[in-house]
Amino acid sequence: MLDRRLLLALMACATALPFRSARALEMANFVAVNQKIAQQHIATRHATFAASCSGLSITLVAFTAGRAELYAARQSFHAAMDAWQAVQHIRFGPSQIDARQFRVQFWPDSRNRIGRQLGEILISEREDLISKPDALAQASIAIQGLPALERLLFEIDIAPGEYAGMLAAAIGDNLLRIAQDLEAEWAPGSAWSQGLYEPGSSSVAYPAPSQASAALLLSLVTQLNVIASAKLREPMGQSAERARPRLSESWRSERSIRNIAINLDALSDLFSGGDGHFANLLIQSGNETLAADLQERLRGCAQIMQGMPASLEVLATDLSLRIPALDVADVIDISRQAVEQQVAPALGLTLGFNSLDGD
Amino acid sequence: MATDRRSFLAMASASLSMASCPSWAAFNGSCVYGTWQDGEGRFHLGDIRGLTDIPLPGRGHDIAVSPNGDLAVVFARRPGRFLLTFNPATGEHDDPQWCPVDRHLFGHGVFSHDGAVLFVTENDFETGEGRIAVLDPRDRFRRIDDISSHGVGPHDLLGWPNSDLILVANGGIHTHPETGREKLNLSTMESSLVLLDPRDGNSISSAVLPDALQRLSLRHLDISSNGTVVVGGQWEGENGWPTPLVGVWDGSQPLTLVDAFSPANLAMAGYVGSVALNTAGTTIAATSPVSGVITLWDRESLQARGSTFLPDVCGLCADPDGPDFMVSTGLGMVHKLDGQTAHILESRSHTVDQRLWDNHLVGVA
Repeated sequence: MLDRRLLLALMACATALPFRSARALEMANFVAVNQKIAQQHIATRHATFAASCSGLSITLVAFTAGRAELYAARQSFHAAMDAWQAVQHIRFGPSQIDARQFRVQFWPDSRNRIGRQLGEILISEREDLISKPDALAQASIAIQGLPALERLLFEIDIAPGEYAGMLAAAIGDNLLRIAQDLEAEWAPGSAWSQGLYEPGSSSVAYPAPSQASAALLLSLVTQLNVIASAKLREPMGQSAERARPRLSESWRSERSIRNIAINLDALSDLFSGGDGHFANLLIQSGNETLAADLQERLRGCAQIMQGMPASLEVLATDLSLRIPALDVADVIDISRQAVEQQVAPALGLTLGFNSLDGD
Repeated sequence: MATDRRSFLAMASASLSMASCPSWAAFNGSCVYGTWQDGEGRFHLGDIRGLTDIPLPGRGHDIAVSPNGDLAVVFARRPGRFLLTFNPATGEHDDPQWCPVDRHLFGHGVFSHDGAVLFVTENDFETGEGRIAVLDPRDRFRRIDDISSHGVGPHDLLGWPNSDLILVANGGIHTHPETGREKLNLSTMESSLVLLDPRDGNSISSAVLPDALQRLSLRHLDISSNGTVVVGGQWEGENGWPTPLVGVWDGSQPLTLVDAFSPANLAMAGYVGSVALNTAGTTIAATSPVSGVITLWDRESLQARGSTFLPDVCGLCADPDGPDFMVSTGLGMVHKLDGQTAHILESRSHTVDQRLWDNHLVGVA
């Protein structure tokens, strides 16, 4: 159910918030937040993704053997996609290695590469992709991950014992391997995890703890931008008549809005979950109001999208939902600007000197 | 006034010139310059050892070094209008000079092979035409000519080895100072590499992109001594669509581009900020600040050789004294990277004095 009162409240507080940088933060403040985010937010969520991919892989193998229904395979897809959407905003480090982000989810596929390549494979029935464990990992990134699997489970009428079903199982296995690698590399005590909170440790990536904090805050900024533009405004189009819902992220499995709700929940957790994360840093720097307002906006946006239909197609054309959904996009944009223009300076952080302003 | 200032600076930098490039111990004696922003938001020019520190009137971008290495020029970043000359061995510098008010710079320039003239990319923003100003270094950089870049939004430019010809990357994007850095023509943009003869302004040859890559902006260049051009691009098209970001050109055949779907290319997230060849001309390096990664490529096969995660990396040049690469980051780090593997060999941190290193590094041999 759409909570109009909440939406109105979020839009009302969507003005430029004052901030002060009166109280300087200590290095220890940043170390503590980075460590909590690394261990509680990043590691936990990647462990959940690996566990859900394990469930997906087992279910798909059972489906090809005729021991599980298509419904069960689809449910396990949803569970894996839920877990992926909850870590999608962590785009650096292990997620960048070996094109993992692309291999898990090749999106947006604006030129239908997945459709063309999957079509060719289903016709040729390439044997190695379903018989050799590593073959799919070496194949085109377009057919390795969740969007290709989505087509097999929701678009093509697959059945046990057929090539398409076995390809689905191979994709499940491939996803599980990637998810396990991500889980291991982000696990507490791993080099990547420690690199975020132990300056000068195995990773020289972030010479100062505040810089790792800035990188985490930049993950929040980037994902807010992706949600408002690529996930919401582009498929919604200029008007209901000009909506292009097939540009949305998961229209075949009718869950593009569910993805956004999960993303926003994850960003809300990154900002103020656990025992406070960035909201806590803001409070320590004397910016209680800014912390509370942004926390309210992120939570509120997540809550409103949770109350919307899971598929974007309905939102795009039904004006009673379309207008509030675009209002949420506005609140997301304003929240992103608040992180860039108020939160970062309040915490004394520089967000992407080169990365946000290249030439 | 300028003379007083200059002589003062010459005295002030006397101790620095004692420690000029060849005697530097760290980074194996490498003499590398770049620009940075400090903790108060002011802009500077200096070397990676921290021996020279020249205040700039605005944000700097790239640096051109004369063939004999005794004169260098730093250019204002788009849409700035200043250029400032300095001696890389001593840190002595002149007062900034300014391009005409109906023009702005793109941040790049290059000396002719004999050092007699300096070429500077400019935007004639009312017509939208890319121009290359020809300046006389021996006469206070007086403007002696002005030729077309044969495209829109000229960015980096280089001299062709052992010739008078120059090569320019027309990024293809039209901007106007009234709209800041807003891109005004993405649907019709057309990027190109143009080899031109500055004596008559004629285009000798050019390379353009296939239709599918119409929104790829070719921006940064390096060149080997035998005339292999390396180019780095920035994708302005559909968000997230894989596009080849590194290519090579021999001056006549079509561009050869890396595999768009190779993991190293994908890791750069549609954006290359700097490219460089190692001194032997065998390995290409490309930095992406957007994803914080440097990638290495074999120049012949265009296969990826290695990559390293370096947050906010952008500045890049070949180590002038060895086979490796030097890189800088907006987090205040400078690293020497192995030219074969991209592994970090040596690092220097400027986090305490807060040097946010900007887009480019230049080695002085």
